[in-house]
Amino acid sequence: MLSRLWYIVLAALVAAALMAAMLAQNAYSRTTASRLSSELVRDRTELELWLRLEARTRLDAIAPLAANGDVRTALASASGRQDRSMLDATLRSGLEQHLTRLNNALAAGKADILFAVDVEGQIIGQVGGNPPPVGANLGQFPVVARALRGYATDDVWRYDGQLYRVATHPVAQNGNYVGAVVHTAEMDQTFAEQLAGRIAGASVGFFAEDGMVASFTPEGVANAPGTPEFAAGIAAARADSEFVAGNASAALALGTSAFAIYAPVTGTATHVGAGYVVGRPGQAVQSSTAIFENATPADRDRVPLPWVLGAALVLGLMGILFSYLEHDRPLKKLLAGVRVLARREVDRLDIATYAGGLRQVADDINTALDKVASEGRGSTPRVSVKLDEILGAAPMERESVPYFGFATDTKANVDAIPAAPAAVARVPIAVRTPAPLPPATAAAVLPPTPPVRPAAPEPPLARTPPPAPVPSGGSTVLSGTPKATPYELTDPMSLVPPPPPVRPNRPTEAAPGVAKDDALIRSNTAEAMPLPSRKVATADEERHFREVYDRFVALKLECGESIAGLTYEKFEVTLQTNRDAILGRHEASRVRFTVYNKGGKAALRATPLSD
Amino acid sequence: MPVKSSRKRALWPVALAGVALALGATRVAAIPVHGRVSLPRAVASATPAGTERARRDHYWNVWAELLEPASPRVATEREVSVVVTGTGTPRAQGCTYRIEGGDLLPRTMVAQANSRIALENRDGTAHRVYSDTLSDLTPLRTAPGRTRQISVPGVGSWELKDREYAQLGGHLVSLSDLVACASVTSRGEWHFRDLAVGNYTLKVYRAGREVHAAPLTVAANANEVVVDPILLPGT
Repeated sequence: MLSRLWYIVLAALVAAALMAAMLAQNAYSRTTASRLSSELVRDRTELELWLRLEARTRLDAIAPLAANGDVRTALASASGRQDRSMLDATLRSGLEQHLTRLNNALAAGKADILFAVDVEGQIIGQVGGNPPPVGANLGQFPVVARALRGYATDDVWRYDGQLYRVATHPVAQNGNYVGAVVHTAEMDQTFAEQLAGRIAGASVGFFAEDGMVASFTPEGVANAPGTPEFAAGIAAARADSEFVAGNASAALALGTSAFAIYAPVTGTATHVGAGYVVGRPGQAVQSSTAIFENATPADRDRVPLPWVLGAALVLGLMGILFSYLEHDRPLKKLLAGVRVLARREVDRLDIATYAGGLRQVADDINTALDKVASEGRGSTPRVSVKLDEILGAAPMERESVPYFGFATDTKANVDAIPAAPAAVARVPIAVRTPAPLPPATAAAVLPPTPPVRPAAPEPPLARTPPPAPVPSGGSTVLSGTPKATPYELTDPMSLVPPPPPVRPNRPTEAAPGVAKDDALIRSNTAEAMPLPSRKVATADEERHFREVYDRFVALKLECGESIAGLTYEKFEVTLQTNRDAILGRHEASRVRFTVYNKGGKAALRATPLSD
Repeated sequence: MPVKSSRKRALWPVALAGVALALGATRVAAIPVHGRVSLPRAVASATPAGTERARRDHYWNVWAELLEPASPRVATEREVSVVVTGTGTPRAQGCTYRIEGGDLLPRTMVAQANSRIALENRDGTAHRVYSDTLSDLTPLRTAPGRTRQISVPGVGSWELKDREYAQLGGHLVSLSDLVACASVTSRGEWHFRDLAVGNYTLKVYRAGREVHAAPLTVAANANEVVVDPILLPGT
């Protein structure tokens, strides 16, 4: 029972451990996601500030260009021309040379496309990019329109298929605005790398419509999101309510390995859905076992490993102990008993020494031995195993002749149906029979006081029988007191009580071990153990005995057995004898007998019952 | 609508009298017509300052401290379309449509119904003009310097947009009796170069709607027709 209970306890512990691991996984993932989300919000804010600062930097960088005399003169000439459909080629080329020189001087802030537009917004000079059509104009682009009114301003364009950061500065000459300088820088991978370099560990990308324009993924960062992950998340970003409202989205999961925040750019390119994204790898625990992988050496150091190992060791030892107590030890005991049996030191196994299933095994072994013995002796009646088990040491069976003749047809006669063996009416029965007995039997009743030593030498027949059974003829005397176990009285005649202690003042007592002749035994029994020595049967018991007798007789007839000499009186004596013997061995108040067919012969089974 | 006549200033030799008479007959059939249209000041100030889109258009918009900030320029040539309708021929004379400076020119493109017009992209960047209400006008990419042909359906008006740039927006107006389109300058001066003698209706369109209409008679004996200034109502 303990080992089974231990299995349940262990299973509960394992389940609790698994649940704890899963809870830890979820809690860890939730905490990590929350922390990552906060980190991405900071990244996005920082990125936005860098973009803002970068725009300001470019505005300041192009101020010298707008103030350049050559540029101002050229734009003033262009703005003052009468026929705006015509442009002097010399003016254009001269302006572009100045723009090239000035642009190169910007070094790192060099524009990818640098425009100089007149007061109407028409492109007078351009450096970089594809040559514009004749008369191309930028006047209606908001950033250029603001510059032509005197403002230094910025924007983000998608111009000719590429995303550009735009900075414009007005150009004035002789008290008039004469045009503007438009500085554009592509939002490419280089720029993404520059931004990512300012936000350690973060991936940065730019997108427009449903595709990525550029991105940069830092090296050495496991599971850092890149262009495919960012592109896959654009649709989710466009469904985010904050993004739709023109703000940064919430931290969105990019598959299972990363998170990112999408935000629209600050510029007119939002018209084409342009935006930027900053992402970081997620650190969510994918499984309960992954917790161990994510643990740092410091985490492992904080685990009270000796206690954990000690607890595991104690639990394991307890399991082994319980298994030994409830399994190994009984098995070894049975094994030892079987070995003793094999050495023929005993004839039967003492089933009372075994418990649970092993008791049944021992019983089955005994039954098998009985069968083997029975087959080996042919028609010789076998001795009931149960009898010995019930009553302990019993008189040795003599040449397979039972004490009682119920199951032996050939020997059954009136005399063969004994009243009870001489030992039946001995001490146990007398002790358990406090009711007053007839004078004839009073001498056979043990006094409640301790036994008195004999005052005179015992007669030969009154000698104490050997306390231990004498193995013979397959009969085995076993000790033990199985409780509430039905006693299979395969042969009613074998219901022999254990040898009682010798009472010196019991002249009628016959020692079974001394009896060499069955007739003598029966004679001694009949004479020495008169019925009054037993507990008087109550009316209920007598009715029960009657019923048992009737059934027994009927079953014998049914089995073709002879019932000659099987009178009720003798049968009743037998039942009373065995009843008393059983009551003497068990804490029971009564004994019930049942009749059954065993191997084609009528047999009895006694069951001690408690109130 | 009052109409002024010009007088002939030069005297020609008698030898050329016959030729002059013949040419004079031709001029009677194609007389220039011009006038001026003005937009309300409030409407002309078209910068969407303070709107959400303007706020999100830029990080910085600081005065450069060179000169006082200039007033927003009124792009009348884009805002209005001046046309005449009637029974004259040829149809849609002088009507041009283009993308220039990042926007439509003019913003209201008045065209002859059931015809095809050419939309020229004069910008250095591609545009993808389309209409939500005109299914045939899909956001087809028009590369810089290229022209896109657009089929004009029956009479109606449709809003035009650009997939690439938010500032590009206008309308396509289809008329069944469009005769000619005037050219409009940034100062609001418009003129028809050669308008045949006849009775017309002078119409001004803005933002896809007809905002002015008046009869226009081109007399046979007129050298040119000058229309009184048109002041459009404010909106």
